[in-house]
Amino acid sequence: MEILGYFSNALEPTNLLLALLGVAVGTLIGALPGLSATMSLAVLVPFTFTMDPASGLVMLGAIYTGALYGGAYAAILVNTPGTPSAIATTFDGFPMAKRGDGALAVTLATLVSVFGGLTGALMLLLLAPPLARVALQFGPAEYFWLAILGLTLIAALSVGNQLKGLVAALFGLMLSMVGVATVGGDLRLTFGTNALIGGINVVAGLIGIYCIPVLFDLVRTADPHLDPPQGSHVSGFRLREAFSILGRNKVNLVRSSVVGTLIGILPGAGGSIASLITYSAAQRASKDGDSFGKGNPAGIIATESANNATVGGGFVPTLVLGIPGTPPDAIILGALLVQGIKIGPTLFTEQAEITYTFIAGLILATLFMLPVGLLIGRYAYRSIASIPKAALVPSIAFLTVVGSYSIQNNWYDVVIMLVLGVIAWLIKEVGYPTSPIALGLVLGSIAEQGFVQTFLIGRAQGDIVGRFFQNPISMFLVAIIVMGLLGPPLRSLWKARRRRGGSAGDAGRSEAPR
Amino acid sequence: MTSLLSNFVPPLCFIALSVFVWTDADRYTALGSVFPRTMAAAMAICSVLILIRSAAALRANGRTSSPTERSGGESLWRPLALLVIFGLWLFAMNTIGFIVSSALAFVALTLIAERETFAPKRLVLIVVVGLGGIVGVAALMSDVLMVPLPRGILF
Repeated sequence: MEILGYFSNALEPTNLLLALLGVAVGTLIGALPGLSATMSLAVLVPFTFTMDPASGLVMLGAIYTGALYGGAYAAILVNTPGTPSAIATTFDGFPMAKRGDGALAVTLATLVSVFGGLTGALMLLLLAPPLARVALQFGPAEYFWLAILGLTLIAALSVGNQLKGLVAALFGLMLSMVGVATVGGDLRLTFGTNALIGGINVVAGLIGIYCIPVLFDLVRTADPHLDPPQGSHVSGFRLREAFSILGRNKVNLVRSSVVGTLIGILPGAGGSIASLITYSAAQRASKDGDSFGKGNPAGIIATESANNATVGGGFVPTLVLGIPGTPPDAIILGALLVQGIKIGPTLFTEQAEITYTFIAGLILATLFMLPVGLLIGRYAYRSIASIPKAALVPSIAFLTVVGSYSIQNNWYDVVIMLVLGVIAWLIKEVGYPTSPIALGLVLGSIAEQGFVQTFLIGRAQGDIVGRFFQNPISMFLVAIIVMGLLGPPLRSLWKARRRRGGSAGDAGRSEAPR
Repeated sequence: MTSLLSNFVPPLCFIALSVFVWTDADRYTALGSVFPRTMAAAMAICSVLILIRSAAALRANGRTSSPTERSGGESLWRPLALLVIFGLWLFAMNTIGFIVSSALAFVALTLIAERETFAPKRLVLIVVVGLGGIVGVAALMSDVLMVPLPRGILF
């Protein structure tokens, strides 16, 4: 009952307006590659200090949830993830948009983002302290295996090209090694230039890897960017169709939302791993697994519900343990500290008012995503589909330059973005997938830190290899990695054998009457 | 020949990269070198496996798989021109300024991307709207988000 009182704080007209504004601004920022939730939160945090604490926190939560959701737009409509969490959304989102189902894809992404976001926020509300203990079970070895799991899953998704996917992921890991080493402080792979000392910025790298090949493809062919068939069903929300698809994917939706929340709890793991794990699970569970990557709505349901669920999950260690999992979590934690909150077990008792108001704000913002998202999505698809290439190409090019420059106000980031983009395009041209490169770049520092720390502990204990496999969680993750690596080749072998058996049987039957 | 190149050259490049990373790691401390060396070894092994698979496919079928089948009507000069414009744009950004270089690049990219019948009115409209967008984003960046954009001899 007391909680409901705190929730009413968030429902004041000013807060409702700020939440709506925050979601709209966040969605637009997230949709533009290069403009991140971190940037917008960092810029707006000082303004919230002068606001009433509840209003400020509601607005910050709204911008964050909106930005994470907004990443889906660029992924679906331009084949460029607005945020790293939306990498897996490109797999099925863009093929759907390409064949004229962009409005449906955006509607689905909106609905499942709301569901995933609510799941994460409710789990934060009800289960934060016990869930925080789960995060503490993860040591360096577990983080290393978790990062490797993400990379092997994305490699396994490269149908028929698993080895190439692995090589691409390793290339991404090597890109993440450029600059000062995470552990040890060595200068690595800088080729003597000062520009590379700071390493390759992840967001600039993502913009290059995804946007530049898109630009090359746009100018190379005369085909339209999106080719919606003529007809009334192209526009509109297509809500009935979306609900019908959701009805057939209930298990996928719930599973992805819960898994997304649980992975979000692990500091640093974030939406990119969550969306890949749930995507892979959805593909394996589906009877129609071969259609994933070709525009199967179940792929969007898995990735978008999971990455939005990580918002609530991410706040579990942030609020209970004071360990922010992502940069936006860290900024919001800073804002909470300024508002006088003390992180720790007393958070949900002695400081209940501010904590519950913040969670209520998150829930409110997630609910606002529905009208805001549907409205923006409807016009976004229509606009992108109707923009001629002569306007689309220079606009995307301009956004890539502005986006990569504004991350650190650094001209070299733009150069790195362009170079990586050209490399990604060349690699794509010779049949290697580029998403594993992007994920390798994103997860490289987590993987290396976990690997080196485990190596050090193992060396001190005199059992390096054993240290990597000591914990049951490590063993569990390794088992999934092995299944992920061996599953696809074994499955295709089994299918080939069945086909051979079937054709031999057919031949036998056709020969029988003679 | 193209498929031969695409099947054998990339893995060889990746092997060369892994050899480079492995040898470069000689300069690092033990902590800084353990991860690069492990990943370099993994990359070399995977690349060798790709080479073996490609060689086996070549021996079995007499040809290797082509990664992408290309349709007709494709232009090679446009991607190259796009790359050149990007390069010039980045160079000009620091010399003549962000807004002017972006405006020139916008016009050039519009002309490269135009595939339909030349329609001056349409192009002028795109360019005018685009230039307005550039000025608007530049103002947003420098005045609202406090991102200092490169300033050259112009602006």
